[in-house]
Amino acid sequence: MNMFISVLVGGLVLGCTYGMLSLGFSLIYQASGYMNFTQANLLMFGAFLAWQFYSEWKIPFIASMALAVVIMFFIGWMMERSIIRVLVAKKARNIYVVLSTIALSIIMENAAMLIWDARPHYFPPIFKDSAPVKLGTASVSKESILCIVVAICAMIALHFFLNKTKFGTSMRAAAQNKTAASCMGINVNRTIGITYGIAAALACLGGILVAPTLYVSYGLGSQFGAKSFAGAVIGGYGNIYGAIVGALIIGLLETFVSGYVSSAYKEFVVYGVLILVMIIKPSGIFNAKVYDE
Amino acid sequence: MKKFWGFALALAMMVSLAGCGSTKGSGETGNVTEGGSGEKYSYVIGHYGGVTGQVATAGTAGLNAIKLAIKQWNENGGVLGGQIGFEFYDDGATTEGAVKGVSYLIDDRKVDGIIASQLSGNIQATGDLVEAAKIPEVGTGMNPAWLQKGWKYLFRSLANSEGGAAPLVDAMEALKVTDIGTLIYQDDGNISANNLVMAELKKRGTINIVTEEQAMVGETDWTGALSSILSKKPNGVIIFAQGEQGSLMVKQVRSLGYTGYIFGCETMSMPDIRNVAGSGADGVVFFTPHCIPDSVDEASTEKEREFLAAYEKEYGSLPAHDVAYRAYDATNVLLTGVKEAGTKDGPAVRDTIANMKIDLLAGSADYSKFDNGECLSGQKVYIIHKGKNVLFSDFLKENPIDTYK
Amino acid sequence: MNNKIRDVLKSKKSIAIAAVALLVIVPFMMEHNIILRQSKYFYLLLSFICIYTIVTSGLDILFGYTGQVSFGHAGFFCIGAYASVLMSHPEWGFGKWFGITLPPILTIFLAALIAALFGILLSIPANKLVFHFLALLTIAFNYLVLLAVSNFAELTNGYIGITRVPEINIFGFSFSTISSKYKYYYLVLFFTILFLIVKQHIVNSRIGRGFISIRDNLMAANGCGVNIRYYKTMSFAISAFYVGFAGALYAHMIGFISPDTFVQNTSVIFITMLLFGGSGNLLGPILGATIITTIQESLQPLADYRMLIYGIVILIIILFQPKGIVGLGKNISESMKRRGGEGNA
Repeated sequence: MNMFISVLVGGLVLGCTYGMLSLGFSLIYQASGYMNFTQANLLMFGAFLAWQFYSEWKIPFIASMALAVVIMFFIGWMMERSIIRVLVAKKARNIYVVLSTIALSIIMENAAMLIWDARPHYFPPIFKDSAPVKLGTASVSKESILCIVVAICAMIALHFFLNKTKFGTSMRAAAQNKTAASCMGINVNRTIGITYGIAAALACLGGILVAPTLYVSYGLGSQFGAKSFAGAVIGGYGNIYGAIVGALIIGLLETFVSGYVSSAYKEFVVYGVLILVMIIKPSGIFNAKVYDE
Repeated sequence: MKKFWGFALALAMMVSLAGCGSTKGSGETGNVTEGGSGEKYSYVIGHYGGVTGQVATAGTAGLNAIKLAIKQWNENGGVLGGQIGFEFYDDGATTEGAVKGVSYLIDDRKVDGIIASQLSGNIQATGDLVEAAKIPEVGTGMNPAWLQKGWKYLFRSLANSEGGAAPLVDAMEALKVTDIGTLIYQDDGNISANNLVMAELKKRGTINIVTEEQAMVGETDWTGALSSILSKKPNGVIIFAQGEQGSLMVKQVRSLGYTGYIFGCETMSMPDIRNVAGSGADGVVFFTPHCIPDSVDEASTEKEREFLAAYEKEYGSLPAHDVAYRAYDATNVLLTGVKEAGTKDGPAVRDTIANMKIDLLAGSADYSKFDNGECLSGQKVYIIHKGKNVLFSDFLKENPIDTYK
Repeated sequence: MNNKIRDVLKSKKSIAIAAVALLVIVPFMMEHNIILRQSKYFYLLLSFICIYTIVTSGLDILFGYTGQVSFGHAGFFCIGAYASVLMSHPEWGFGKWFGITLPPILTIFLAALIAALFGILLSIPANKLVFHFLALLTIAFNYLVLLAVSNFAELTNGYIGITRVPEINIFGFSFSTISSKYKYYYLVLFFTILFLIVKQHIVNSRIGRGFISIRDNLMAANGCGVNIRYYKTMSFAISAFYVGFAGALYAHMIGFISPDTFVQNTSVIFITMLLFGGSGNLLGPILGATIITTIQESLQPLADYRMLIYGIVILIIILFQPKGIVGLGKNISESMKRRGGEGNA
C-alpha cells in the first residue's frame, strides 16, 4: 500500500508535467495545424526564469511564478509572430515550420546553457517546512501535491477559458475555418498568436511545478519532449482532453512498470504499448483524423 | 550551362568553406594565447571534450583547468625554451565529435600532445588514431577499460574506479549493511564501476543484494524504481550516476522516506549534489579520487589549496566538477614529461612519462609501477555529513554507526 | 512537353556529373597542395559528408518522394551499424558464438538488407498513419531500437560499446581510416555515387512514379489503382536499406560503436540535413549533408557558443529560404535565365 501510494503520486506528478506540454501540442495543432518541437524547451526556459526570480532575486514564489508565466506567454506569442507567421506567409511547407521549431529549441537550450551555465541549479523549497507529508504510512513531498493540484486547476481554467469566454469561441472558430472566422470579424492571426502564447505559458507552469521536485538545468526539457508528445498523440492529436488523458496514461504507465515490473524494460513497455495503440486504435483514445485515406 | 556553373560554384564555395573552417583554426581565445601551426610555440597541447551537450559541466571544468595549467606553465617560462600553445575541439560529448576532434587536432592543428575527454567511449573510439600518430595522450576518465586495450601512448592522471570497490564495500561492512539495493544509471562509466562493486560484494558474500534497478539515459523520474527498491527493505542503497542525475536520485529516494546510508561513486563529490538534494545528501558515502571542498581554506593539501586559489581567481568560483582536478593533473603530467624528455618527440615523451614519478593533486603518482599507463591505485572514501564532505574514517571516529538509518 | 522533361533530366545529369567531378577533383588538388594543405581530417569530413549523403538520400526517398515523414531514421542507422559489426567482429556476434566472421565488405550489404527488413516491419503499422502519428511511431521505433541495443548487453556490450571494429578490405586491399588518409574516402565516395545513381533510377522508374503519386495526391493515386500499401512498404524498405548501409559504413569507419550515437537527436539531424538541402530531388540531400556538416565544423572555434550559433544560422536560412538550399539555387538560376534571355541548361 505504502509503495502503491508513492508510485501513484510519482506517476501523477510525471503525468501532470507531461500533460502541461501535451496541452500545448494539442492547442497549437488545433489552432494552426502545425507541430511544435519547442514545447519542452519552453518548459525548461520558464523554469529557469522562475528560478532566477525566486531563488536569485528573492521575489515571493507566487509573484515569480506569475511573472515567469506572463513573460513566457509573450515569448510564445512573439515566436509565432516573428517566425511561424513569416514562414506561413512565404507559403513554406508544414515540415519547414517544424524545422524552424527544431532550430528554435536548439537555440533555447544553448542560450539557457550560456546564460545560466551548465550546472544543475537547485530550486529552493516552496514550503518552509520541507518534511514530506504522511499519507497513511507513505511519505509524499508537499511539492508533489502542489504540482498535481495546480496542474488540475490550470486544466480546469483552460476548459472554461475555451468554452465560456468570447476569446475561446473565436479560437475554436479560427481552428475550424480560418476564412469563415475572419469573415465574422475574428482576428485570426492574433488568435493563433495568443494560442502559441498560452501553450508557452502552460509549458512554463509545468516547468515551475516540476522544478522543486527536480532541479533546473538546460537539459531539463529534452527529457520531457518525446513522452509528452506521445501523450498528446495517443489521446487523439488536437483534442485537449485527450492530451491530458494520454499524458496521464504515459506518466502512470511509466512509473508503475518501473515500480512493479522492471526499470530496465520500462521504456520497452511504454513504447511497445504506444505502438500497439497505434496499430489497434490508430485514432487515439479520443478520435482524431489519422487515416491516410 | 549557366545552371550547371551556378551549382558547381556553390559546391566549390562550400568545399572551400570546409577548408577555411579547418585553417581558421584555434579560436580558443580567452586566457591562453592563440595557437598557430606550431612555429610560435615550442609545444602545442590539444584537448577534445564536451562543453556543449550532455556533460557540459564536466567538460567546462576540465577545459578551464587545462587552460589554467598551461597559463601557469607559460608564466614560469613555458617548456623547451618557448611558450605552450593550446588547441581545443568541442566534441559535444559524442563519439563522432571525438573522432573528428582527434583527427582535427592531430592532422590539422599538428598538436604534440593530447589531453583526452573524461568519457571512456570517446577515448576508446579515438585510441587507434592517437596510437598511429605516436602522440602521447593523457586521459581524464575513471573507467579501467581504456587502459586495458594495450595502447602504448595513453596514460591516466588518476586512479581508476577499480580501486574504489574494495574501500566502498569496507565502508558498507563497517556500517553493518546487510541488504542492499542498487540503482545504476546506464552509461559506460557507471555500469563498469558498478560491475566492480558487484564483483567485490559477491566475492565477500557478506552483503545480500536484494534488487538491481536500472536508470535509463534521459530520465528524470525514478519514483517507480526507487519505490521498488525500498519495498524490499534494504538498509543500504547504491546509487551510481552522473552528478546531474545522482543528485535527483538522492533527493527522490529521500522524499520517499528513506533515511539510511546511500553509497555512490566519484560523481557524488560534485558540490551540486549537496545543492540539489539539500539536507537529503547527508549520509551519502562515496569513493572518489578528488573531493572538491566548499572553500579554498578547506583544501586538504597545500598543492590543492594553490590550485583552488588559482582557479577561483581565474574563473570566479571553485570548479563545479572534479574533472577539473584530473585535467589539471593531466596537463602537468604531459608537460613534465616533455620537460624531462627535453624534446617534443612523441615516442621520447611517451617513454619518459612511462617511467616518471610526479606529485599530483591526486597524490604521489608513479607510472613506473604500472606497465599500462596507470599511475595510482585506490580511492578515498568520503561521507556527506551535516552538509560537508568528511573523510569516512574521521566520520566513524566521531559518530555512531547508526547516525543515518 | 516531352522535350521539357528530357531537358530537365539532362540538366540533372549534368549537375550530377559536375558534383562527382568536384568531389574527385577537389581532394586531388588538395592532395597536391593546390588549394589547401592536405590533411586526414579533411578526408574524414568528406567521408562523413558522403555517409550522410547516403542517409539523407534514403530519407529523401521516403519523405521527399513518398511524402512519409520519419523522425526515427537513426534506428535504421543503428541496425545497420550493429548488424554489420556483429557479423564481422571476431569477438562479438558471429565471432563469439560460432567462431566465424564474414568479411566486412559482405556484411555491410547484409546489414543494409536487415535494416530493410526492419523497414518493411515498421511499414506495417506506418502504412495507415498520417503525419503526426507517423512522427510519433518513428520516434518510438528509434527509442525501441536504442533500448534493444543498450539492454541486450550479452549481444551488444550495452552502453560500454564495441571497440576495434574490423576494417573493410577487398581481396587483401585494406580500406583503413587509421593508416591511410584517403583510401576510405574513395571507397565511401564510390558507394555514395552508386547509391545516388540507383536512387535516380528508382525515382524515375515506375516505382518512383508510384511514390510521387502517393505524395502528391493520395486520393487520385488510389482512384487510379495505385497499390498504396505496396508502394509505401517499398519506400520504407528502400529508405531503410540506404540508411542501414550508411550505418554500416559509419561503424567500419569509426571503428567503435555504442548506443549513444543513435539517439533520437541523430534522427533530427538527419531530417534537418534533408530539409535544409531541399527534398524531392538529387541535389538537395547532397547539399544538406555537405552544408550542415560544414557549418558544424566551421563553428568549432566558437567553442560553447557553437550550438547556439548553429541554431540561429539554420533558423535564419529557413526564414529566408523555406524550400531548402536547392530552392535558392533555383531562384538564382531563374533570375540568371531571365537576365540572360534564354537558358540552355
